[in-house]
Amino acid sequence: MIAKLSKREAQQRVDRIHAFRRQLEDFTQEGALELSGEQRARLDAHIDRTLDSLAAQFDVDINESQKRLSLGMRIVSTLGGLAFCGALFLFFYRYWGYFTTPVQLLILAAVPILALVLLQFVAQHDKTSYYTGLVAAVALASFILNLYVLGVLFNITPSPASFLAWGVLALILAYAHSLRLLLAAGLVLILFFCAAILTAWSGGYWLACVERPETFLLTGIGITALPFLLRHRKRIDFPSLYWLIGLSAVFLSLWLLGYAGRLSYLPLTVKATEVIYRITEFAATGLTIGLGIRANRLGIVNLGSAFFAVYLFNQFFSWWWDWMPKYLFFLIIGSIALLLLVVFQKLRTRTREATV
Amino acid sequence: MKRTGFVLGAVLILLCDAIVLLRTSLSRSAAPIQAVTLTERELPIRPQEEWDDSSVSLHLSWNRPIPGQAGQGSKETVLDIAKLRQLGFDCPVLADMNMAHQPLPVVVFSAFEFGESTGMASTSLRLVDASKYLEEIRNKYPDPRKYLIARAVIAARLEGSWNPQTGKWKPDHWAGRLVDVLPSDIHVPLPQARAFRNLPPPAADSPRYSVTLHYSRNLEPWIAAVQ
Repeated sequence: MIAKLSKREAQQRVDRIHAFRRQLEDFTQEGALELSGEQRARLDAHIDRTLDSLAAQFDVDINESQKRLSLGMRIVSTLGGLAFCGALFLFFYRYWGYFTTPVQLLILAAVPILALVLLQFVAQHDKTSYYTGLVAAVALASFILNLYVLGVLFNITPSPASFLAWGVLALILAYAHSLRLLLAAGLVLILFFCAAILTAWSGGYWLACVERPETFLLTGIGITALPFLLRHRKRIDFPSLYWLIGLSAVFLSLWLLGYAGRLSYLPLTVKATEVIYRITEFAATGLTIGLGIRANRLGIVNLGSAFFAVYLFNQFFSWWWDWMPKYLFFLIIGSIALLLLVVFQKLRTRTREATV
Repeated sequence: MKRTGFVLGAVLILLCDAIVLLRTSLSRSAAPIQAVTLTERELPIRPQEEWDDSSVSLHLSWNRPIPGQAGQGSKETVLDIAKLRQLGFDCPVLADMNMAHQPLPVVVFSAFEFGESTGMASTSLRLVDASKYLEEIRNKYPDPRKYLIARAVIAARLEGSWNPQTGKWKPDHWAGRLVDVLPSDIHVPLPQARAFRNLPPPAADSPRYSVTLHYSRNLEPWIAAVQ
């Protein structure tokens, strides 16, 4: 049974075991449950065996201090990966001018392949996935360097196809080694590629996609919808990243369009476009919070709430900041925050009652 | 899954490299559609110190407008409303700046004139025309001793004038702007790069080198000779 778990599922099981142990202590002290000495010893032995087995097989954190250290290791591994990528770029740039074109081509093709071989080796020996993540980041960076420098070497007109290739490699590595950092990188690269392609199809220069936030809006909706179409039974922590990146793209695009309607494709006046998108902002965050509560997804609810607060503050700022005394402005914002707290509390009570 | 990931990743990398190399080799094996000789004025060396870059590349340098002077962005530019409409921009006549959406920049084929200016003080690569069709612009500017044909990114913008009585911006005219030439940086491979590393100090009146560029059917250049 344990062998079929993913690392994330193993960690969730460890957390449930700890919660069960704490609850068992409470029930015993309250006199609600009384186990005989033999039963208790058998249960403790089973729990310890299970924890040892999970720790040995998946390198999960079996106490709070280990969890805190793991977080630190994740941060260090991400920063280390980024630093190695920077070193790779700068090292190549420092010396590539002294090599002939065939030697440059050989190095460019060999480095990402060697990085993949190293990744394969590290992944077989690394239970923690920190080192695997670090080497995978280097492999992706070396492929980015590969295509970018090939373009420079042969004076090729820049094309969005490179973003597709980089994104696909990032996704391959993310799914092969269960790496969330690579998944995030892959989704951002694919997001940019799709936005660039939509811009080119509409007749514009692909790099001008940043001047048409609607291209990111559509792609963001697509990325958010993907986990509903592709079930992630093994990688249960991947869908949350799809939603984080997809919804962030949607909300940021809406925010930009509500602020600068001249960047829209809509054949309306700038003012009308801005009004439409400002209404859409609130509708989209409301819908996200509602769906998040219904699906019991805390991350989605938090993201929706954060953007709802940003939109609200932005709206009040544009309405009142110029003419209202500043103390009154902040007083109103504080009062609205209090009002929202009351509303959220009522919503929470209602949800609890419904659950009971 | 890990093994499949390795195989797929390696295939993707090799496939992308093969596509780039094949595409370049095919486009360079055919006869160039354009051979132009430019000097240091139009093709200065790109400074590389910032990133500790050991390679040598040249940068296609075109006339940039000076704010407040006639040129790009003003009514006198080559990219006037008639030309912008030919290039595909709508350029509607508007009564209110509030109506104006920012049009997307487009990639077009452009003709640049060069070789008339003297000295090193100013660049002599000037945009003289642009078209959506390569053949049209090549037929119109066939002389490679005077004109360079390249892809360029053109943007259009509605310029307004401030009306102090109403306190609002009033639409004045549409103006085009050259955003970039594609590609604007030209890599110098190693045999030729040595010559650029040993150049004498810049002279005030004459360029130190001239470079012959060949352009493929994709309008992607490579260095054919350095004098």
